[in-house]
Amino acid sequence: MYMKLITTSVVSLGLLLGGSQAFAKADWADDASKPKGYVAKTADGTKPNALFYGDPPAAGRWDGGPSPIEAEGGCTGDAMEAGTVIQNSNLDAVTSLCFEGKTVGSMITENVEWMIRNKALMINTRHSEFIEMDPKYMQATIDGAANVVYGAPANGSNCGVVSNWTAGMFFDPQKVSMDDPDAGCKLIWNLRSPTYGATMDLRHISWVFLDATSGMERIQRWWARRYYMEGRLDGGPVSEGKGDILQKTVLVAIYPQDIKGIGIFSVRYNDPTSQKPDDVYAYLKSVRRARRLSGNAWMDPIGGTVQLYDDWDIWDAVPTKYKEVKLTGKRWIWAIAHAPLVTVDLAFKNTIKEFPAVDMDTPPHFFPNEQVQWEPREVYVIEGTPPDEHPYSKKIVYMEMDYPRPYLGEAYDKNGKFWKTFIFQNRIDYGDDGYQALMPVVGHIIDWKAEFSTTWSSNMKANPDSVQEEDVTLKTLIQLAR
Amino acid sequence: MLFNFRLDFYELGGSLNWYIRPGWDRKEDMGSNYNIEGGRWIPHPYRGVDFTQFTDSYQTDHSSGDWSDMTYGIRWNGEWGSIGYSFAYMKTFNPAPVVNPHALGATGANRPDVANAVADSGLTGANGGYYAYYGLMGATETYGSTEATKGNLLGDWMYPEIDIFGFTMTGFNQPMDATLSAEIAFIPNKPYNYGSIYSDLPGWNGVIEKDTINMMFRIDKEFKWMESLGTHRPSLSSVQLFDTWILSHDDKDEIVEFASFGSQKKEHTAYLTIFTLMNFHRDTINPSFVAGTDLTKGGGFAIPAVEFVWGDDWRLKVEADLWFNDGDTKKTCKGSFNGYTTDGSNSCGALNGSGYIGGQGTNGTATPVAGGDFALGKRENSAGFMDYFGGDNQLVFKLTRQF
Repeated sequence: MYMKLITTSVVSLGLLLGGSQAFAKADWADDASKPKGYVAKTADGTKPNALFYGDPPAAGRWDGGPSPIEAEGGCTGDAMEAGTVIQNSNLDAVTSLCFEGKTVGSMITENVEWMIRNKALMINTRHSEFIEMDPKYMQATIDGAANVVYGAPANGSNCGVVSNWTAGMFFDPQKVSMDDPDAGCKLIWNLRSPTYGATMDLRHISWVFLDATSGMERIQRWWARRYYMEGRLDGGPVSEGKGDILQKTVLVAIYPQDIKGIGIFSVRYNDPTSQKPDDVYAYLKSVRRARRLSGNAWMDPIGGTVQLYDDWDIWDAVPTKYKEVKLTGKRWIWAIAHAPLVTVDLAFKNTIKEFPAVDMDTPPHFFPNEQVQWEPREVYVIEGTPPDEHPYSKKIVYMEMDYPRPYLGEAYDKNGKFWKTFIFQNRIDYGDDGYQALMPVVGHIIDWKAEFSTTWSSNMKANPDSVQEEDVTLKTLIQLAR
Repeated sequence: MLFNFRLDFYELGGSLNWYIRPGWDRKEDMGSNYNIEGGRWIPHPYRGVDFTQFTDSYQTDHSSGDWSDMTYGIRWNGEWGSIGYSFAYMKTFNPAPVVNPHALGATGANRPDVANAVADSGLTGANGGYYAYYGLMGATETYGSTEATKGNLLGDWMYPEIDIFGFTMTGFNQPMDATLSAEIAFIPNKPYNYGSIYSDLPGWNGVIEKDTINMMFRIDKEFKWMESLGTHRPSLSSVQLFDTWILSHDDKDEIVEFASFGSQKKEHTAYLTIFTLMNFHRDTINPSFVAGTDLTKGGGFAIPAVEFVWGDDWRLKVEADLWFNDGDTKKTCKGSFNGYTTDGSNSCGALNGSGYIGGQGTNGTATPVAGGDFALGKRENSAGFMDYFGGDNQLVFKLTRQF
């Protein structure tokens, strides 16, 4: 705690000096006590930085004292102990109990309650803790906020075209008002900036195909990296290239042999109107060539999984690709923000133990494992209506308030029937350059029509050493595919 | 052995790729050989006929096709906006082998008069002496400056070296929601076998070079059949149109599709192919359909297939390879040759007359053999390449265990 307090003081000093880079280095890079790959213990009692998170913090921070909600006089009745496992057998008994100033039941979404009652979902509870995003990211948001222009809607979308963004979030979430009719669009714009690093390395990512009845069916191993060309906060240039590209992504299967090469290399242009389609290339094994694909591949399933490319981060499209995006509210939910430190254990390769955060032993085989803890998080609830060609008629995402980190999601089919649940496990992690971010490490994508899930697990890493733009190219796709 | 280099020019939005094959490879490491050993994919009636027993396969040190020669290629890949393009040059070997026959003068004028079938007068020295036996007409000529291998052989198979100048373009068309691609390649002096189309060794008169343009136009589109057919994801489908255009083409040149397959090549040879790949039930049932047709000469193929996926390890693929042709390839026995005639009944093997056809006597002397087949092969007439595979329909079951 002592060390953290010193670090925070340095951050504050850096802010007073007005230099985001000054504290950036001081924050983690010189901290010899935090080796690469180190994951912070978050219960350090640090008071959130008022500049980034408000004063008092808007969301329920856990800083060792009474949480703000309790201070605000929320639920004060009998409390549920942290560590209680909420499940069908005790759900009715705990629903009205208090937890951090809220009733337990008020933090259970309708979809989660349905899964607890009918699908044996268990929620192992813990207290919430403040999770600090990298100060560079938060500072860049504040520095750039005045320049960002939210323009007129485009392309049949209700969302405005955004210009003059540089880095961090597009919009300071503290200043996004619930009354703002464009609030939903602005928050999804935030999700589309580099949220957990300038380069995302989805290290060791595997999709496990899980049937609700018979359990593990297949494992597919993939290789994935996303390289942002804009909004980079890794110490190098903030913008790379000519400014016309937002990000490049390689997502390609490498195991088993028969699917090796399935996947894409995509280039998403820095076009806030979304008029310009992505450049998408796929490798075709049958002809041993890479072929251009439809620019509309962003809404296709990833290989044989039940996850769409658009379900990356639960919601991957820029908001102007959607017909309508709206903020329907903010609320507290049970969410996984402190996922286990090891989510892919290669010592147990090709067994269910390889994925310790997923309960593959117990039907329906695809929920978070027992030791994975859920905690109260205050979230925005954002609802999107995708374009007509999209497989979904509606998508709902539950996203952290202070920065864009989706925890839960729901998707509905074209007839408006509930179709899929997204449960993403997140944890704080540090890039090779010390970049600090809350990031997803496990994604449960559950197709309830098929009673089937493709759940991915990864040892996610931000800003891996020595990765450059030319490491995320069509050539990379072809090399991995062959 | 091949050295491949690539240099990215990010500021120019492109890359330069070049390779050099120094020519150090062992012969057995060279790829791309045709089935001339008489196996499954040699056309009728040659199945079981091992051409390597009476030809040199392959002549690896021909002056126009020396396997130890260095070959190389260079390509510039770039982008105009989101349209990809490439320019390429390659020095390489012709993808299909040609036959280099022995040079023998015609005994008379103006092929293809049957009377002027190429023959060694004594028929004792081999070296092409049996061309007459197979009905070759007119003169034969050796390709380039290297004579065909001497000995009791009909000639040499070889891969001539060629130059290819290529250009490609590909781009996504949003209104069509499809990717359009075009490729064009100019091959100066591309070698073709020619002559004696109505013989048993069509194309064995020699090699003629013609400037050739190969073109391809392709549309790739992903069809969203999830609602209508229940596919798991969009089905990649493709239509491709190929054309081979022989510049300064002349029917009198009697260019054949392939040595010993006597279908005469036209100025344009166009193929249309389509394929669609479908995935059902989270990619565990994967049907595919491939089909093509020869727009110039008719015929085609269809390959419906389905692959079943069990877990990580087991895959079963069932495939039907179906070939369609219009029956241009005929067994032709009625007629006369070198003083022999068939009995007129179209039944092969009943020969009358005198002369040298039908068999080989001592010392290489040709002798009449009663019951010999007047024509060893079929006559391809106007057959196309699809007829090459006529009668080769097959069902394939392939079970794979992956490790």
